[in-house]
Amino acid sequence: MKLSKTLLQAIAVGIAIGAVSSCSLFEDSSDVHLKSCDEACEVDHAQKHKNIDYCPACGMG
Amino acid sequence: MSKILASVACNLDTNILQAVLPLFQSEKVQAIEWSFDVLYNHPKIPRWFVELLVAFGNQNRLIGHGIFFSLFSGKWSAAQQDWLDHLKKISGNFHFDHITEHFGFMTGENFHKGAPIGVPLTAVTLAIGRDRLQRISEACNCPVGLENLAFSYSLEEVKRHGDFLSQLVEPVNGFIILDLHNLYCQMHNFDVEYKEIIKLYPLDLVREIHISGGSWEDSEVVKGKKIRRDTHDDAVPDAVFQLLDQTIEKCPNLKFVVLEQIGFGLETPESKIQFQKDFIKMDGIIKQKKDLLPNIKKKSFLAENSIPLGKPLEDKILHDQQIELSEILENSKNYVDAQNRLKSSTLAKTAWEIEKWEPTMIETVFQIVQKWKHGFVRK
Repeated sequence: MKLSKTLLQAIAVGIAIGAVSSCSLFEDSSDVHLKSCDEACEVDHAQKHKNIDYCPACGMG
Repeated sequence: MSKILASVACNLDTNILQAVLPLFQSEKVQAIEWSFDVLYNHPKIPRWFVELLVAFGNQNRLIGHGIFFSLFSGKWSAAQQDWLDHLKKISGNFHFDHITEHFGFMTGENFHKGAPIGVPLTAVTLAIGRDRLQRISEACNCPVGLENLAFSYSLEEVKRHGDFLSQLVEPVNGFIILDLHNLYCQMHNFDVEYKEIIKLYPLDLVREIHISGGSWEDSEVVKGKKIRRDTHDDAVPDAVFQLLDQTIEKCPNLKFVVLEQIGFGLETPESKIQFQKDFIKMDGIIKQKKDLLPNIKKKSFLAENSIPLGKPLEDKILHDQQIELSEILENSKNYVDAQNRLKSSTLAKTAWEIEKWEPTMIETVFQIVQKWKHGFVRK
């Protein structure tokens, strides 16, 4: 299907900014930890796990 | 026969969009499937993504694919009502050609923790599934369908799955998604031939086909046996393309063939190029079939009668069993522990027929639930 050049450019820019992910739950938080983390954990799981197993848009089998 | 649309599962995911963009630019993508509930708690969708959904929707080429409704939960939840309200709202914003969900129920305490696993095929689950599909139909006001599950506990269940799907969608005049990678998982895991398994599905009800990749897991129970898992994290195997080639012409009401891959599986430039090659190959197979398909008017799959909806059906025994099963699979030390606990659970000697569950499948469902039980997070 044909999409307008304007839309294709907007998608390209949106991707380039890199502000999208299937997993919305990480996006609003700068201090996200897994249940298994220690209280003192300093790993930024919001970044580390962005877009991986924790974002099950499909493939949960 | 009208056209079959070569489609992609397209979500708001950087890797997926990077992989799909060249296909958009070359006008290869004829429809998109959007998992509208993945952004359920976070409705800030970029304007350009909204425009993408609108563009495909306006051409009757946008389809919605739910993940988290948990169709067979024995107890109705506020989260399910919220999900329906959300579906009703977005169905007013976007034009979906149809809406689909998955077979099974979600383990876990909320929509974003847990995994979809099977339920016994009984009159109780049939009634609950039908009740939920009627509510989805009422909310979206377009055709509604259900996808076959990759995971099964036993060969007997595999053999009954297609007929049960047919019974489930009947009151809403619904259809099924035939996920060929899920079929491939069942063929391998239960050693069933294609010609045997395919005739167990109501192929006249197939409006959508999925293809995807997956992964192999070494079984500890049966040394040397590999279990096929529906993880969507790799390219489409040749065997699944062969299934597509063999199946299209058997489905007179087929409208969409969708290529799915999880964003995590599309991180490298090579994997994105492979995704594009898979799409081109899929499109080529569809085009080859064009002249072989019967020239008949396809079913609309629109609900024919509006059925008055009362209070949502519930079954306390089923709910309690689902809670107990989830707890066992989430908290057992290992699959042997899970197996032993199941034997002394309230699921023993019931319609769940845990006595017939394949040991390799208990091992697999334990791994699936363990993988997803943390879903997310403490803040």
